[in-house]
Amino acid sequence: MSHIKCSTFKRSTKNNFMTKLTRLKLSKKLWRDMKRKAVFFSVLTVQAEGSDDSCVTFVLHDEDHTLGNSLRYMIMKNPEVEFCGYSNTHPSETKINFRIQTRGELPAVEPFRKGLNDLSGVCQHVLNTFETSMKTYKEQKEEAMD
Amino acid sequence: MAAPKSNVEEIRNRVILGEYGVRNVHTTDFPGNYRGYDDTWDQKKFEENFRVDIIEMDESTGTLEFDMVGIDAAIANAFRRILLAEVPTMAVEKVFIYNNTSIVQDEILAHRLGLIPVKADPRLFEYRSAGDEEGTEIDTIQFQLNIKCSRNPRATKDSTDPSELYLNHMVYTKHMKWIPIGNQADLFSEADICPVHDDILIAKLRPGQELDIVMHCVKGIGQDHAKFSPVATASYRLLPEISLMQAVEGDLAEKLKHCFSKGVIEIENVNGRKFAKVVNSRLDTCSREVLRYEELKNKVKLARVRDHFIFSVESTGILPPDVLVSEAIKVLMAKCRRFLDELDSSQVD
Repeated sequence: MSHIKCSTFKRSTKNNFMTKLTRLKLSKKLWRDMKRKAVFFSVLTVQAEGSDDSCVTFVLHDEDHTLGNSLRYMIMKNPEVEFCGYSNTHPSETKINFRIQTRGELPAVEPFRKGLNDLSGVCQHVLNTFETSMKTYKEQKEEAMD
Repeated sequence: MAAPKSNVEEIRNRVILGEYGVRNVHTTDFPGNYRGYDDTWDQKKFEENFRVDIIEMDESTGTLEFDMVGIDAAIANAFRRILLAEVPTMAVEKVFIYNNTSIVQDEILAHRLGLIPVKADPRLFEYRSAGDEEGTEIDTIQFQLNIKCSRNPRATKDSTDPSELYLNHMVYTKHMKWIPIGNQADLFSEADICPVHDDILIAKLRPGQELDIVMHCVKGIGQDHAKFSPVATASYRLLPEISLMQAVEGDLAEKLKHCFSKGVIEIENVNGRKFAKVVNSRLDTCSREVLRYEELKNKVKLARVRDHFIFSVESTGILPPDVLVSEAIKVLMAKCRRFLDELDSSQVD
């Protein structure tokens, strides 16, 4: 049974063009240059304004309101965030522009990372609570049948 | 201008249903919006207030009704959207038609076959890699439909009933036969891989017409094509809250009772006078009928509790509804993980 793998999400075909090995072989500078030219080989592109890291627009590929709105809610709950919003670029394109502006000097990647971690934590707790409730319900039903 | 304290609680927790519209719809409890409230994200506070109540699950019809209390609409909606469009299932994708002399056109027949729910646990299969035409045992399920209609020699002379005159004139999903590829015969049995329902009518035939079809099923998500959606539907509504501002008695109480769904308002007898009482506001469908009457509209307040979601999930039969909800939550977790990994890998450079 070991050859059966489970994947619960569609792997982006864009990842196939640049494997991790190829990335390591490229020099650091070339890597940064390619990123700036915004060649889409990753699921996440970053467009920062100038040298200030506190205002950043993330372009999330293959995403829509499902992740966009829930992530926006988690990031807005962070008191360090001054502005957080997202929009789809065009209905025919499956990507969203996700903008974060922080108060003070905090780099915008930090609330983004924290938001993702918090959302992951919420999902984990919801899953545990749901499965516990389901188990109790099924046990109660079994007892009622006996 | 600061709102009075009781009003603040209402703005934060309730969606008000007014005569001409719905007010207070958006979530406003973000840090800094309300003085005196600390709305920063606190996992512990969330875990204390959050609960899931299972109301009813019916395995035979595949329906599940449960409550999620203490979560925001953005996340509840994300779960609903994922249930509809991003939980994977197996469905017929490629139809090889070797012979179709029936009256149903090839493409119509292929479209109908694609919509048939196929009972196969999608977690045990992989997505087909791009460009692969053949399909391997790990990503494809093969079905065969081979049926020929003929005249029934034993029919009585004057009968007009097609079921008596012809043999095999209705093609049902029970005529679809699973052909195991590779080692699938060792891993699955006939009962594991079959169409969910035996009695879905695919086509009708007459004597001399036949169907000789091979189908390949692959794994996909609802976003790609609706045939891959694992739910008949998944929806939620917010818990209604009906409060009587003044006592309503006598005939007015009867009128009030008829403005709401059955079982919401009951008439109780106090000292010989009839008073209306809100018994179960959960059953109400929020038609706002009561706001149409001048004499009643100021006596009632209609609202919805903003963080209490009543989910209703109806599965097509491929996976039980509780498994679908768990899978949907895991899909959202996987999305977060995907971006966290991407962030981490780009930091390394």
